[in-house]
Amino acid sequence: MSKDQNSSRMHPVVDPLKGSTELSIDVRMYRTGWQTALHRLPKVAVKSVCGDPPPPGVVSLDLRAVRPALRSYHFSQSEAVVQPMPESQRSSSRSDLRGTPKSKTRMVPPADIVKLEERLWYLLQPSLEELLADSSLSLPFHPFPYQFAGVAFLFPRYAAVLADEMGLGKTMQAITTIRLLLHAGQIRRVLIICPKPLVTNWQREFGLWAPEIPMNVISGNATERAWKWQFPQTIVAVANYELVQRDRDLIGRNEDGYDLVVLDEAQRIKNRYGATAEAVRSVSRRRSWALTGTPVENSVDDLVGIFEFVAPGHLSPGMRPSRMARSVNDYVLRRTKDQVLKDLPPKLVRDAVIDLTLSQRETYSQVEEEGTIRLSAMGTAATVTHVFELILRLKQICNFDPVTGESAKADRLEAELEEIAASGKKAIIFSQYVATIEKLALRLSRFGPVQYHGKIPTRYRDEVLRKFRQEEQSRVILMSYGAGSVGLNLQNASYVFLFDRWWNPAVEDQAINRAHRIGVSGPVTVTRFLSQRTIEERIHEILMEKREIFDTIFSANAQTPKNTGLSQKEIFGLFDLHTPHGPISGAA
Amino acid sequence: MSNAKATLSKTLGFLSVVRDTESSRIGGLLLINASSRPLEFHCTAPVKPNRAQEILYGPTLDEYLCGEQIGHALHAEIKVGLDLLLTDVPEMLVLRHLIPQPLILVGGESKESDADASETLPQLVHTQRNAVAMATRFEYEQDLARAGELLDSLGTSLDLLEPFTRIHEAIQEAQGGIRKQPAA
Repeated sequence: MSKDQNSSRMHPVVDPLKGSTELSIDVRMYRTGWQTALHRLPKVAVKSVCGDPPPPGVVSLDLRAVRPALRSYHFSQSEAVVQPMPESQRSSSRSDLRGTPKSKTRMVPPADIVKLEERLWYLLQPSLEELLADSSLSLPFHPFPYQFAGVAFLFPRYAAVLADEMGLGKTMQAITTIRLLLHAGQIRRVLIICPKPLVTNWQREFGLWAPEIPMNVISGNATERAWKWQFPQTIVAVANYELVQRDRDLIGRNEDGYDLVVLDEAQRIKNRYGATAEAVRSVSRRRSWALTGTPVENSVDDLVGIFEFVAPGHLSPGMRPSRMARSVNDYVLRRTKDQVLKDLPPKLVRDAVIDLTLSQRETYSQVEEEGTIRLSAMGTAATVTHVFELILRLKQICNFDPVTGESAKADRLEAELEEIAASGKKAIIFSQYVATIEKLALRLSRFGPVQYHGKIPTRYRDEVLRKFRQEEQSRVILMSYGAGSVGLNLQNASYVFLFDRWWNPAVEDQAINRAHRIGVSGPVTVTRFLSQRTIEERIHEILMEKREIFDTIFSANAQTPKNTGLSQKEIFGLFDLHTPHGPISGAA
Repeated sequence: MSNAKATLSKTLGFLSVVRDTESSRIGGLLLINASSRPLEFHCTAPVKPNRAQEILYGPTLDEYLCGEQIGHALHAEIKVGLDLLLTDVPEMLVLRHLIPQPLILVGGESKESDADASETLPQLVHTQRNAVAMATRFEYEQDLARAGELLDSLGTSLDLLEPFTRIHEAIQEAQGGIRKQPAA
């Protein structure tokens, strides 16, 4: 239809508000092309639309159990070579620790044990009190807490120095530790090396503290000793230093060596080049323990000698004391009576300053003057030996006048002993010289003196000690520092006299501690005789300085001491010796 | 087997857990013989719950971690026979459902949390042995009698609390040792 055609048929527009209008629409049909399309079926495209909402997102939280990572340690139970103590020996007199351990002393492995399994084995052991509560390990006395601590220190250590002050029971601590190690199957063969006079002491102490452990004392002729060294059933062998040196080759034949070697009075090997030290170090061993109350006697290098046995190479000569103190910290345990035995009766030390008798003074002055002149005349040719000879003569004069036999010290001693004997007490008198001891024995005969020194054969010495301990009339024992200062228990003496002075304070302390030790019932009075205006006064001053060495290494506040020993210079200085070229410096 | 040997062959286990950090725990199991000597020691690496576990386990998280995860894993490592298991961790008692041996909670008299933890845990059955408080879950009440008989048969004054100190020290040592070891 054209535009014109459409317009011609259009009706006028009627306003619907004004009324109705007849509607007449002229409809005509024209042929077009699309009517056929009406006969075709429509194309229908189906699009499906889901009416449900989409599923929600899911977050899964994994709560499955993951097995934790684990570490396991299995401890085999080594078979002990010793049998439990028989019922018959578990007498009621022995201390029963069952049910009583209030304190718990635990072992702590030392720093040099690096294998974790081994460290844990020590850490997981029960307390010592619990171990010793086993009736098969009963003890004759209840140990002090510090002694438990000493055992806990030794038990895990392959290298150890137990340096407790004399009288604190180093022997007991060592024996108890050996006993526990043997029962735990940790060791099977033990060698104890000690000074000859102390062999019987070790026998006695083992019988007391570990009666079920058999001991084999190495003694006799060469054939017997060879057999004893090789005897396979030996668990604990005891030998003195001299025998170890003599039988070095025999000991070397023992292929298995020892699980533990214990050195008693280990200061005996302070000279690391000495034959004794070399022989001791040659003994094949897994564990090395040293017992000594005086690890430093003369100089800090003494400790180097001991450590060459305990932990070779750990210390070196010339180390500064403060550095040495740090190095030995984990290896050395040192306690003093003041620290651990608050209840021990006091030790009263007094210096008795004696004035020589007139004849002694005359002799002394003459010998000193002559000696000094002679040494001065020798100039640089003078040696320490020459000075020592003079010192020896002067010290002997301080004891007894060789001309008249007078002795101001002996007079004073006699007076004091009168009082001591009257009060029923006993006294130990120490001297450096056997000659002095013999003279004193004559002077003091009314006090029933017994003598204990190098001239008394070893086989008689136990009897000497027995007499002093048990016989009432025997009020005095005269001892030399060399023979009597170590290892002996003489708690029945309330008085100790140092008739003359030894060269270092450590030996003097050892001597004093024969009486002032565990078991002493009352205070111990120590009298150190000192002859006024003599060489003894000058030596005394040096001794005081030497104490500083010890304090430096074994105290918490380590400082370098002013003096590290009695040097050659000091020895010469005792006489203020000078040459025309200046002071004699001890170059010899 | 003689009586003495039979007694010596008894094995006691001590199971404990220490907190490594705020949220991680380390378990330790010590087995000892009648002489209190160590036979075995097992410890876990630090076990730390994830956030989901913390939320979903809620108040039972400690029981799940201590008893089901740590305790069960440690128990599975035991090589020697076990006669009695003791713990100082109340949450560990849930482990009893998973193991055949008696499991007893022990604590000191004055220690309020351990054996006196009945307020926060399912009802416990209590008893006292010397100075040690003992408890177990009420479903396993007979465990207390079994434990008493066993401890009586040992005939020693075995300290039932002291081994936990050893475990704690050993865990510390083991963790330090493991940390010091170079990576493989």
